[in-house]
Amino acid sequence: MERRLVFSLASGSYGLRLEAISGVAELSSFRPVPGAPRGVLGLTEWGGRPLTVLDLPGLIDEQPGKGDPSLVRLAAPFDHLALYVPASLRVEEAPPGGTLLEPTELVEAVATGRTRVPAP
Amino acid sequence: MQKKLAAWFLTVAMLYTIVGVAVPRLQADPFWSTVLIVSSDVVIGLGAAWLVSHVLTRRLRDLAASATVISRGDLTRPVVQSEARDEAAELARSFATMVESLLNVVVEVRSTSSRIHESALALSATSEEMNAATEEIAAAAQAIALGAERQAEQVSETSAITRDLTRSVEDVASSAREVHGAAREATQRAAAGAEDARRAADGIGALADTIASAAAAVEGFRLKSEEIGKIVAFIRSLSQQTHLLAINAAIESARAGEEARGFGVVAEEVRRIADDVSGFAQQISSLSDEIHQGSNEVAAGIRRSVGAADAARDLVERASGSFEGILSSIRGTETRSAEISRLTETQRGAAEHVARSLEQISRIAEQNATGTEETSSATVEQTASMQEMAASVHALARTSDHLKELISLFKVG
Repeated sequence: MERRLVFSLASGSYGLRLEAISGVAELSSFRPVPGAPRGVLGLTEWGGRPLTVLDLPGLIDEQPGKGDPSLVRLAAPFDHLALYVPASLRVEEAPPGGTLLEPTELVEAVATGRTRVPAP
Repeated sequence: MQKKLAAWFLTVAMLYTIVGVAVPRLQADPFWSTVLIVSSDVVIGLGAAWLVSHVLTRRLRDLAASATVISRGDLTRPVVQSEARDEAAELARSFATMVESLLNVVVEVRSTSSRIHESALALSATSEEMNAATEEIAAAAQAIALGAERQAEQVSETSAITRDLTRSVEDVASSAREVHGAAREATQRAAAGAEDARRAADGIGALADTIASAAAAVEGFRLKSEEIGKIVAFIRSLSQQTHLLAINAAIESARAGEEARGFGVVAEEVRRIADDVSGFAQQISSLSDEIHQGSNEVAAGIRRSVGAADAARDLVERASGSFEGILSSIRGTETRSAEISRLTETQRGAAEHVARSLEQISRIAEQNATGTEETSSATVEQTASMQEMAASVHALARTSDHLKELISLFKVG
């Protein structure tokens, strides 16, 4: 069964396939970038490499959940991006009813500037 | 004179006897004897009478003539005197002496009359002056009487006012005594209050010290709670890091595929343990937060209590200071009220003395007014008397003039 990185935001549970993730870390500081598109919080450093931090709740029109916020680094080809997830993370088998998030949809939302409301 | 008369009477008696003896012998007829006797007796008697009267009245006539001259006022005519030693001569000599004395008296009277007249005139002038002066005195006495009466009225009014003042002073003295008593009582209460304030300040100070000690202890608890919080936070951070590490392990396990499945299981167990640790750390953190919050609240409460105790101590100390100031003021007030009470008592005594003095003055003034009235009345009477005296003096002067006129009738040289 597929295992996902699951987290709960204000309106529901969401998940990312572990294969789409390269790693998770505590949210350290990030530097805002003036003129950045909507959904881009700024830049951070991960293992000596700069990463673009995306506002996941903002991209999917959600509100933060409970728990310490974390950074979720996406896997290639989006390994230059990291998602800001303000919720507790856990690894579970794919829950029935959870909303699966695809990195491509999130990147498209950033590119188009429109909030991507994924289908449940 | 008696001897001569006696001799004449003896002679007449002898003649009567001789006739009475001789005629009957010479005339036998009784009728004619009687007629002869009677006729002889008559003749003898008349003759004797004429001789006696002639002898006696001659000097008396001289004296009468002198008296007539004297009656006309001429006292310069000498009185005919005789060297005889009978009563008539004696009478003439006495009459001459009398005339001489009368002359002297008239002269003296004239002189005295003149002096009296002059004195009467002077006395009249003096009496008129005295009358005028007496009238002035009467007017002045009347004015004095009126003034004395008004003075008596004013003194009476002043005495009444002084009596009212004395009563007011007595009331003030009574009030001063009451104030003094109240000040003394207030002093005692203020002293007791100051003592209570001092004890309260001491107690609050001790309470503040105790609270400060408790605050220090609570502060220690709060610091320890903060340390616990820091440790819990560290544990939570470790747990979070472990959790994330386990997730990363699961991610790597998923990448590694089936061969890394066991690693994924271990990672999952690690993650679960980390979650449990995180849960416990969260509980500890919650408890620590509650303790910290409670400690903060207690510390805040203690600080408020300390602040309140300090404020209360300050208030009590200020109150104690105020009490001391009040006590000092009340003691000063008590001293001043005692002084006021003493002074009012002195004033009351002085007012009473003044009242009694005024009453005495009032009585004296009334007596003076009465005496002045009497003096005025006496002066009026004196004036009347003076007027009467002036009238009498005028009458005396007129009498003296009349006397002079009368005396002037006498010719004295």
